[in-house]
Amino acid sequence: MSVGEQYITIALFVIVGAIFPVLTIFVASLLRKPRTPEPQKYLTYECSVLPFGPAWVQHNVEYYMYALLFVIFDVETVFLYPWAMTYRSFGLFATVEVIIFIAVLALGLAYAWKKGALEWMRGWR
Amino acid sequence: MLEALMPELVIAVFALAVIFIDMTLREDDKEFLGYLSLVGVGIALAMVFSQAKSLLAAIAAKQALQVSFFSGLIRVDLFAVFFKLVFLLVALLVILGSLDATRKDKYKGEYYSLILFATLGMMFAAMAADLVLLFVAVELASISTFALAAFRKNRTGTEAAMKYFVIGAFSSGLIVFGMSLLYGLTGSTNLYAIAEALPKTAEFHWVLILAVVFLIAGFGYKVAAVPFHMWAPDTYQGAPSPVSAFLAAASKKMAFVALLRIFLIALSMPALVKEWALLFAILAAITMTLGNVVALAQTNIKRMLAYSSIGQAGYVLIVFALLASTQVDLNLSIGAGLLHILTHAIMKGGAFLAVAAASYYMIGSNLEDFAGLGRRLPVTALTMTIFLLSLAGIPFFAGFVSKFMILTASIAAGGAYLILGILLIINSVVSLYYYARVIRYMYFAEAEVKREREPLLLSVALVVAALLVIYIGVFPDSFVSLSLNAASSLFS
Repeated sequence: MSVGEQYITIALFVIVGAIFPVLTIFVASLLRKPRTPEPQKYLTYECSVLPFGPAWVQHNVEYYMYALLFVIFDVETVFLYPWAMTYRSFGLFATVEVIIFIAVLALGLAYAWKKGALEWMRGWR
Repeated sequence: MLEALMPELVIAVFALAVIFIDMTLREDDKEFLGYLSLVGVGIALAMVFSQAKSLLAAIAAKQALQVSFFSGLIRVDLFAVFFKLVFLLVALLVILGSLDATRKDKYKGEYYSLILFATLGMMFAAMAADLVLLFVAVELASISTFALAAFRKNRTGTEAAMKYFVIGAFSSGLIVFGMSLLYGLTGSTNLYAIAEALPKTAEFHWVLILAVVFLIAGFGYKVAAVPFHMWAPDTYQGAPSPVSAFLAAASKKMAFVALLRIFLIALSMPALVKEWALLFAILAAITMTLGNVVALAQTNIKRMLAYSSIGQAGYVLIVFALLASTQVDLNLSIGAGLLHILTHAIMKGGAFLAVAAASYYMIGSNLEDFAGLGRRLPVTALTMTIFLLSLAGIPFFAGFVSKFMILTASIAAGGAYLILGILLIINSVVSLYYYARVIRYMYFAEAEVKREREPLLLSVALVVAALLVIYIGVFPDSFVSLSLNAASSLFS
């Protein structure tokens, strides 16, 4: 396959991607008839629950703490998985290394715990 | 293999231990953590020192000069060891000074462990022979220093950290983009493999030029070369003085080690050197001129030191420009740069620590605040005088030796490179004015002051740095040959 042919797939994707939304909206407009405008139809659609309250809700900034802690475990998984897959061939050496790695991460978690990052809304009490 | 990495392991273990012990201590007992980190850095420094000794002995016996392992990821040569000495020496002085300077601050555990982690990152950056490891190491050091700059949560400190963080993150983006282009061109992240893979002809792919520009711009931000310098004065002024010392004396040098490794190893084919050497020549000329001229107008000493640090970075950039010349020995010009990096680290770190000693007594960092400092804090004032004279390049101080070496190299290169040498001389003369102005305020300005007891550990740090500055200035031989050998070990 030449370089040009390789890009034909991408070109097809771009063309289909551009046509698809236009086509669906057009087909939907055919199905939507007859027009019966009702106030409910102009409400914000949110999983069939009626929306309540203003849209400008303040989210608690403490979520970011959980995002940070999530990264610890995320990174842990990323590195533990390949270790688990090659456990048989690497043996004890890799196991010790992984234990050191987990210990360092656990230290990070312990630090966050000690500093109260796991307590929800501690700034409000 | 593991024994070559022992200093790094020591620093890593101590950094983790500090943060762990921090959790178990009461607030009043946390000063212990500073002494613990001091011990860690001391042990690592002793180890690196013996590494340097054995490498020098190996060079004298014409044996193998470097250890390379992790499939070429890490390379421990005299060049790396030289920079590790600089980083650990600065970390030692900064921690010693911080014991006094941060006595009244909270979060000591975080402070010291961040300094240790930053030092660890710098040490790995010095040894990295691979773009990915280099980037990770630079980021480890950068992220730690972002947090350090915000150590005191006041307005100026937050502004300093914010600017440093945004610009630092942006420059990291530029660097990683440049690195990805290099990888795309050569299919390798190893610096030596990249050098092999790049074509030796004078015809370059335009992407290669783009990668060079991105790398120069990204690391230009980190060394605060002139079009990319605007964060440095605000950050150095707003951050606590010991942290400013660490940023100016260690963090900036890490960017130089990365620049040297990438440009001297990976991008070293002669036709390409001509291209980037011109860029560096322009950068060096405007960096040293603007840094020194703007420093003239500063009334805040920390800001003045920041601009002087920009100017001094310009002197080191001359070295990169000289690499295109065939007249001058490669080792001489690189060795000159290395020696100036070492001497500037000591004298600029010392100068910021002297400001820290003054602020221990709530003395501000404006010029008028330093009036009568010579009688109020004699040790601080005397060491500050030594650092400033050395920065100006007065003979018998360390700054003179390294500047003289850069000048020698640029004269040996001859031709258009002489312009850079002449600019170096003119800028040194200009800089003498604003350095001497601080000395005049300290000793000859009228002020009602009385002698105070100076903080002991800070004074020890200052005196050690000042003695080193004088020692290098009076007996430069061993340091010159060390930096020349370090330069030559890069290519063997």
